[in-house]
Amino acid sequence: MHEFSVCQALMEQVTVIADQHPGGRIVGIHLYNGPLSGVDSTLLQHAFEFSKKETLFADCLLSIENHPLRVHCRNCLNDREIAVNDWTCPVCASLDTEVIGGEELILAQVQLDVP
Amino acid sequence: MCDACGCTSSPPSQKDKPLKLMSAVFAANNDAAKHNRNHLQHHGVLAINLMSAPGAGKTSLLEATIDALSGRYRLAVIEGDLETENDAQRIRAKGIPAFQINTGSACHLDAVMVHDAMHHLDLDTVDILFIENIGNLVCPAAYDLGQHFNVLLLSVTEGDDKPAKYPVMFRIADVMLVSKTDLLPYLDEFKVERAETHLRKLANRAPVIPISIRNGAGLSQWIEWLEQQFHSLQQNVPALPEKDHQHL
Ligand SMILES: Nc1nc2c(ncn2[C@@H]2O[C@H](COP(=O)(O)OP(=O)(O)O)[C@@H](O)[C@H]2O)c(=O)[nH]1
Ligand SMILES: [Mg+2]
Ligand SMILES: [Zn+2]
Ligand SMILES: [Zn+2]
Ligand SMILES: [Zn+2]
Repeated sequence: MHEFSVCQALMEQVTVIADQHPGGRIVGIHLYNGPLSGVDSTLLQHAFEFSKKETLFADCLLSIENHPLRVHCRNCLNDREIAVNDWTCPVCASLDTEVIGGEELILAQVQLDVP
Repeated sequence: MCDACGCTSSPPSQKDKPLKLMSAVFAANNDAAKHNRNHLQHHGVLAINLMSAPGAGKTSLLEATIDALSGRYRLAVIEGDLETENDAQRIRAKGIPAFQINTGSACHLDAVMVHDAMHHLDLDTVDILFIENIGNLVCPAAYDLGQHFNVLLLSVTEGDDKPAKYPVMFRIADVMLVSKTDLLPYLDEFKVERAETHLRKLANRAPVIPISIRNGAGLSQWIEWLEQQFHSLQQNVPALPEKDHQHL
């Protein structure tokens, strides 16, 4: 699984940010993850715990907030939360729906401990 | 304003001040994919990303496609799948340039690997570039390579509920090929219509084409789809002059 390469990309991204704030210790990372991002939150959490040892991230807590899958129905114009493998509109049963949330894997926040 | 990281707060002076970022973790890959797309557009190349579970028949489909198109279109292949190490050799045996990406144990191709491979091919002499992704229904879905279309193979020896089990992958299919249909008489449990229903439940209207390399079923439909995409690309996207090329 590719959660290790995702973890690598995340750490590189956060390192660039931390470099802008000299002396800052990275103590927290907050992510938003949707069910269509292709990344499994649990596996990413494991990859992070495994990779962080003896790095800049040793004291960093990773928290991942799982976002729901939401669609907009072009037929009845409602927005609804739906199951990941059935995007039928729960209101009017149309399949003319488009995803409006749940594709994202977002680095929402980084917490630095600055002396 | 800290412009390096794009956060709107000034660098934190207090302890533990959170930096609000809202940046995509896949941003680096997405930028590389955009770069690849520019290359392809400049050279007027149609790029097809072939994805499936291991052994669904990607390389066999490429061989049959080469037989149907060579002479009329200039083809090239980027091989990522290591299920059989000689996939690139199978393609070269047909006189088509193929570059094998050595991914080691990687479970997907990313845009940087494909960029590197593209620079080993002479894109000026290519009309259609096929990228055979690694046999995996999970990871490749998360990595845009710069392709124009995603082609998904679902073989009848797998379950017809694969689109429901791997929605992240199947939702991005631009065409779904149900492969190895010559085996359908031996597989009561697989129904093409059921596979299609599961795909439709992902609000995906992509064409579903049942194919068999063994008896040739559906291949003309697949070739027709491919030619259509090539010609509409040629008409809609005139080749762009390549700007100063910033290498990745
Ligand atoms: N019966 C049958 N077997 C096929 C068909 N297409 C491919 N195969 C077989 O499936 C196996 C895997 O095919 P291959 O093209 O290497 O799959 P890949 O791993 O997706 O590239 C090989 O033994 C092929 O001969 C088909 O249409 N019908
Ligand atoms: Mg293959
Ligand atoms: Zn993987
Ligand atoms: Zn509706
Ligand atoms: Zn380049």
